[in-house]
Amino acid sequence: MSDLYSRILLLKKSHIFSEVLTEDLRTVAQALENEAYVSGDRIFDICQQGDRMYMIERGKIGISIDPDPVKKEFVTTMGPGDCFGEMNLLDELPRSATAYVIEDSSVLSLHKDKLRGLIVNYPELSLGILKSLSLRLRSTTLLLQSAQKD
Amino acid sequence: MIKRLGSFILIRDREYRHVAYFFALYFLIGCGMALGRGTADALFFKRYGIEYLPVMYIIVSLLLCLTSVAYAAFADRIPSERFFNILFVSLIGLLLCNWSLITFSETTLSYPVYFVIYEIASELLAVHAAHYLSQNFDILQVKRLSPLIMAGTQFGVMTGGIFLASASHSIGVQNFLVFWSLLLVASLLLISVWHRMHGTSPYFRPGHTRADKLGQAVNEVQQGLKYIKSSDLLRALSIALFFMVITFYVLCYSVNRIYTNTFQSEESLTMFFGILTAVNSVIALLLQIFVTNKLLRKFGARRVNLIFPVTSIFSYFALLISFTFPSALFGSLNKEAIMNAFRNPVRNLFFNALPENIQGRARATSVVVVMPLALTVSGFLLWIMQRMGNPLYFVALGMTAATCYLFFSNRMSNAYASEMASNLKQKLFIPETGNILSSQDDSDALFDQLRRGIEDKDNQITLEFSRMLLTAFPDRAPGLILQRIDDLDNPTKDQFFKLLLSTNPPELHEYLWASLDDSDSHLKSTILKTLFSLESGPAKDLLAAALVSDNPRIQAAAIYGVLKYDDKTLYPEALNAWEDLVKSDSIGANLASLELLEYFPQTHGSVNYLIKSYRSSILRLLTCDSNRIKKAALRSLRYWPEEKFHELDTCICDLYTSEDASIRIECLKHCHLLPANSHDRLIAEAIEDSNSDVRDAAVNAIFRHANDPAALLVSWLVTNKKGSARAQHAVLKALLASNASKDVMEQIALTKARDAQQILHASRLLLSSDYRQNSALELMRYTLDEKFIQTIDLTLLALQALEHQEDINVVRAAIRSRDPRHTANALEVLHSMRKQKVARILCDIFDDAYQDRTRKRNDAAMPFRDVRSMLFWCRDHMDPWLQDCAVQALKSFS
Repeated sequence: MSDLYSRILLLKKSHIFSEVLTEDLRTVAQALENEAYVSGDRIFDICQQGDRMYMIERGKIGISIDPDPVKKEFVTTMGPGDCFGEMNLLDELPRSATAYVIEDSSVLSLHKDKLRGLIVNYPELSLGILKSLSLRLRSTTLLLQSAQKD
Repeated sequence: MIKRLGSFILIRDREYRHVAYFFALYFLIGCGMALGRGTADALFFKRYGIEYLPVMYIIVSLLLCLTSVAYAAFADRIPSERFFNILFVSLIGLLLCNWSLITFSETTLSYPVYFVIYEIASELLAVHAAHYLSQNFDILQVKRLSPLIMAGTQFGVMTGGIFLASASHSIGVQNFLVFWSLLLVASLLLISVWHRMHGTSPYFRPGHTRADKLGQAVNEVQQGLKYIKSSDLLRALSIALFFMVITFYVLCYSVNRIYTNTFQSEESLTMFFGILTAVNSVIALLLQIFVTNKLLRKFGARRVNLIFPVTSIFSYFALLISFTFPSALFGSLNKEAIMNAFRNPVRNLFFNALPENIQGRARATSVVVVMPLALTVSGFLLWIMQRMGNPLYFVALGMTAATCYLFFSNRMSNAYASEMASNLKQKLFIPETGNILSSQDDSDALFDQLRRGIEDKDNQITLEFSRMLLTAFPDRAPGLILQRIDDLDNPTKDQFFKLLLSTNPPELHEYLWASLDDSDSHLKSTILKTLFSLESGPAKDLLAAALVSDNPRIQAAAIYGVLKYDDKTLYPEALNAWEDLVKSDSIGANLASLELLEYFPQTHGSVNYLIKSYRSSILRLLTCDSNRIKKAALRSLRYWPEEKFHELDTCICDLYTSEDASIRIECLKHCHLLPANSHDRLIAEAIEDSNSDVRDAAVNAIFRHANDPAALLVSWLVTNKKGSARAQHAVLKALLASNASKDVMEQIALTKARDAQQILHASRLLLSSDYRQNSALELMRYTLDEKFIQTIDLTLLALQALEHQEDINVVRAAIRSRDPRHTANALEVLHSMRKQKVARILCDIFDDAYQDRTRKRNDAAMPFRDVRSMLFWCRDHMDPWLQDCAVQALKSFS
């Protein structure tokens, strides 16, 4: 499948774009940038100011919430198709974790300014993003409720 | 085998145990009712006298009222299974006591007492059984399964009837009371075991409790009566029930008179009642299982609701012609088989259309007030009429009641869908249509609200509220608005002056003169232009000075003033100034000159030489860097005095590639100035734009300049089958707004509904394959799901031209909610629509229960059977994005 369509599929599987139409994701897919990292790199550090989200095309990324960015105690690892850092597309808060490159990786990144520019000109993108966030909030609420019951 | 049978009678996989439980419970209840009916009637008619039947009706009505008040107190408060337990225990006690009285005592009062016990118990059990059903199933399940579950009652009645017929001579009629008690004990045990395993009824919603139960019960009934006043459905339902009760009981009296005269002993009468009950139950059962839900699905609850009233009229007609045994048999068939098969299941559906928290009260009100009242009236009228001797009198009474019953059943049917839609609207938080001005009755409250609105800190909000205030209160608004704008910046004041100019209030003149000297040049030019447009006498003196101003906007205002006042002395100077503005290298001057284009046709013909200068000026402005200037230049083109401006071609086509949607929209507004092929190409591209406003602008451009825009768009949509779902949406919206032909809209709705069916089939084919192994097929799956939703939206949009818009909005919101209960209610609303061809397809798509069988039937009509042929179908579909994804998928598939 061509690069553009693979990107669209990756975006569609991410939480933040899951409710955006695949047709509209074409413009977002075209705004993605390729980045390559080698094993041992850190893509971003905890508490660092963030401005983009990442989607893994190839490789393995470890996520750590240890305040020391050098320590490698991963709470989760991510592989092809996974995305991280997406909340920084919408808010100004610092990174809540450090992203380590465990294996040589190729990622697609989306800068928030590009996304905002797209949203200004294609308002339906924002509706889809809002819907995704709303559904995520609902499922988080349900998880909390069932955790409280337990 | 079981699954096939289940599929045939519409039971889904997870429902077998529930259906079995309810079937068994209602079987036991039905069996007991058959024993009770047969024995109560036979004992009363033979040992007491049928002539007292009308009096019994009056007594039963009073007692029914009292017991029903008690029922209303608890109906919504406790789970219905607990209430069943209370009913069963009470009834067991009463039956055993009565049996003792009949067996060991000489008193004949036990027979009317037993008659009353049976009548009260049968009504309470029937009402509560339906309530119990609605607390355990959603509306779609109730509609689908209630005929089957109620068939359990019929099986029970049939079994009871056979038992009665076979054992009446050997056991003795009164001893059947003991058997009935045993059946009630079995029912009690069954309910206890079931709810111990499955917990409380899932749709039980407790209300608030109060200490004063009686007062609370009366309050419940009062609330129910209050709701009758406000709800068309409940009102029609109650009146229909009133006449139904009269119809039913007069028919009962009539046929029982004939049977009592025909059979001499109580044993033979009981045996006959047993046989009659069994036969009618079999008929009712067959109807319920094989006919009722099919009719409900095909014709909807509205039409099935009318079957029993019509057959009742026929029964009375037969009795009028011949008051004999065969007519009586037909009457019994009607009241025992047809009523149970059609009227009872449908009545439940109608109650379920009411809000959940009022259903119990509504049922209680019908039992406490309506039925006792109707029964009292029946008893009273029958008591009078039986004294006249000739049965024709009471048969005529029954016929009249049946006719009224039919009339109000029809009204009930009409109110059903609107009540359903109204409830859905509340549950889905769909707002009322119309704006703030149309929704307010109280003008003082509205004025206050708008006045508060213009005090807002945000200038744009202030402007919008001012606009509304000016519309609603043109006399009071200007003073308030002018007070408000004192604090605003000059660009905002500019907008307000233009707003106020439309109403030209007297305060405006004074305000403008007072503001003139303190304004900056931009605002000054607006004030001057406003004064000139009002043809203010003193303002004319300012023309000469303004014409020689350094500021191009003030100059432009002065030129406008000269044209407005038609001042011949200043005309040559004005024309020179105009030419200077147009030809100037200053963008500010060019922009100022654009505002004068609007007045071009009004000028003297000699001014036409300016057009050439205007052309180069506009082209220069359109190629500058600033989007603001480009937009201003584009906006001015609306006043272009020529029909074509071919030099714009390259410029507009370049501008259309802008990321700024507002520039693309402005380009479309003036694409009629371009050569025909550029115009068509631009429209074709714009109608597929990612921005919905641009798509709408493309369609509006067609409407403004095509000869027959509606025909052109219909041809694009229907004949040539072009465009993505979003482009079609823009076109349909415009056709709707232009009141396109209803036949055409129906054809579009039908086409889209069928398309949605095919897309759904495509999606299912893909889901049943190993699509996750292939990324292109995975993307295809997402795309098909999206296209399905979009196509359904298009169908509903087209239906808006043919049905009530609010009903369509409700259906759309219910489907999008993905809540099965809301979807089920939306399907009921669809059933009530006029365009049943389209509605039926939509119901097929969304009604899961029918999908297994209808799917097999519909699959045979699909243009593809496997994934590969499906991809080819998608590749040839009109939607460009679906085509693209299909092409990708086909590449990877090979």
